[in-house]
Amino acid sequence: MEIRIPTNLVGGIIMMLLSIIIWFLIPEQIATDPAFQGGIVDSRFVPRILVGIMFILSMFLITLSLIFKKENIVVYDLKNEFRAFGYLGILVLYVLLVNYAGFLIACLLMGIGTLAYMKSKSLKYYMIIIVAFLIIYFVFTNLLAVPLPGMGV
Amino acid sequence: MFDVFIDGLIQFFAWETFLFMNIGILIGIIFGAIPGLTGNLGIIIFLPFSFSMDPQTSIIFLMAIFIGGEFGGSISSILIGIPGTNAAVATMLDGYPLTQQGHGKKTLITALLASAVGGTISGILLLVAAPTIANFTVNFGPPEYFALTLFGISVVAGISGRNLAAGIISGSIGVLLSLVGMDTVSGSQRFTFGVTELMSGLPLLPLLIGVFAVPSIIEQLDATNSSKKEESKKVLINSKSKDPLTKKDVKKVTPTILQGSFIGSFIGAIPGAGASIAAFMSYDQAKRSSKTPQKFGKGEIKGVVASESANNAVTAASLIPLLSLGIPGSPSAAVLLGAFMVQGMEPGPTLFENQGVILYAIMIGIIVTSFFMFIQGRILSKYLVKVTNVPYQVMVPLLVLMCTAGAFAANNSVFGMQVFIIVGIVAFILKKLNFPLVPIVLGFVLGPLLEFNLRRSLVMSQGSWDIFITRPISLAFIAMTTIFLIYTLKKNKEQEN
Repeated sequence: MEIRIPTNLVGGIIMMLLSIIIWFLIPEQIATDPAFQGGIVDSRFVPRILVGIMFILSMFLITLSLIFKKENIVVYDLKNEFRAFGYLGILVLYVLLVNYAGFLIACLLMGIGTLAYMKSKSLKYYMIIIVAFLIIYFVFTNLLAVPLPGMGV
Repeated sequence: MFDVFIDGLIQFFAWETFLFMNIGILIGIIFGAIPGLTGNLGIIIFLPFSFSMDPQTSIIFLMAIFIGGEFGGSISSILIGIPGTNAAVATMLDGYPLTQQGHGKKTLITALLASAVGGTISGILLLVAAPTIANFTVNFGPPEYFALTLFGISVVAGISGRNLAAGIISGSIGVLLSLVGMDTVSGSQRFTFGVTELMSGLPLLPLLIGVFAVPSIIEQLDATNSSKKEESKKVLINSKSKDPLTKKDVKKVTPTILQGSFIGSFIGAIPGAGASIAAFMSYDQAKRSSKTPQKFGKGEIKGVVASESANNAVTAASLIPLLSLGIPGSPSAAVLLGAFMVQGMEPGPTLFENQGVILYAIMIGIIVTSFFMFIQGRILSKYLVKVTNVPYQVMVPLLVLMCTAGAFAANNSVFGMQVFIIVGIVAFILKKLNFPLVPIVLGFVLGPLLEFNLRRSLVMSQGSWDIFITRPISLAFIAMTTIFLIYTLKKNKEQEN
């Protein structure tokens, strides 16, 4: 099954909403220093300009699509996209798991999980991944002196 | 200046520099040769390994990956008809037909020669041009810097995709991301949402890895499930055993190699243009100036050398705006900017004054890299085609591991991994919606410079924007930005029609 996305319209709407959200977040998220408050060069100055540019250009994209009927349609295979987002979900779980299980166990689970997700039936690939992961872990922790987290960070 | 050059030359001769240069070339060739991977991804993945090296060795190591990657892309293009990198697509047009005619090995060696010459000429131009431009820009004030930075981001936003508006939105997102954390002027916190780690801003390296690597890894995931798997099984047609590269062959292609090298160097020095554009421009020029243009596309060796000399000439030339102005001219240059910063060196005009010796050593190293790439390529060419058969299923988890370990190593914190994955997911979605990713990185890298100089300029002028048009250099950059944006809009409209 395929999905057709009018990128000017969808991208424009997403960016317009994002710019509105950021605009209203600015007073809450950026406290101005009394010395600069009210001046043109305070901390909110550049973020407001950028959000303004984003809003104007996203409106431009929406106008292009709806009024001038100029659209850039991309077609995606829904099955592949679900597969991609499913894998991104696995990566999120992996990063979260590092906090609880430590880097080595989490990455070994990620490696095996990735092969399983790709429906790999080759035992050789599983062995290669486990050995390669152990070597890379050793290189990072011992040769590069990167303190990759142990269990229960 | 000559004294600094001699000191740089002396400093360059260190055994570890030569060792890591050669390791970098090999890594680059392998990354370039595997379809779907690029030299740029190689730089990102091996960036953490450079942290413990001295500045000179680390930058030369990463540059060697970049340079090797551009040549590596030609291996799969020529031998199996699948371009290893986008820049090698033009190489494939004539390279693969030559392999089908039984000249695969000879074509590969000729491409190697063209790549090495292109890289060397580009390196020499870097050596001459970067200090000269830096000398000119050393007296720039905040308005000039602001206008220049704006020009850099605009050019990249314009060139990165067909839609200028989407490019500028991407650039704006990048600048906004760079503003997270403490405002260096007023001390206010911005967009930290109460997260302690965000107070010092988003870390550069996890962000770079996330933007470039996650969409690339997901593409590899697709590759395991698509026709690419079948394509990679294409049989390598055996080369004729006695088919050496003769002096006559070299003489025939020399003018095309030189032409391609200069085209590549010129295009490479323009921020955002990139190796792919250079390769096609050079190919097109070689075809136009040929007496037998009808042979192009059917196995004309000049087509191969035109593309290869140009795409390799982009490598060093793309460092000209980085080293002289502090503006990265390509995604790889943006990653290298991060590497410079990790080593405590901030690219820009003052770098030549403060750390000129190391810079000259690096630039000399870039020239020498092309020579060693030629030697490695000659020795390893017959084995290199095998790397294109690396199974994607093994590659995906390995890339994820290297990326996450690298993201962690940037700050020795799990926070880096979290930034990597969040930024990566956002980048993946933006790419699906046709928003170019390179302007995000450029915006992030140049954002602080842009904001700082804009605010300082307005303080200097007491709030008047006239300061940007009353100073000649600043006015020139603003005019160039405007002309470029109008030109891009016009060109995009022509393409649509």
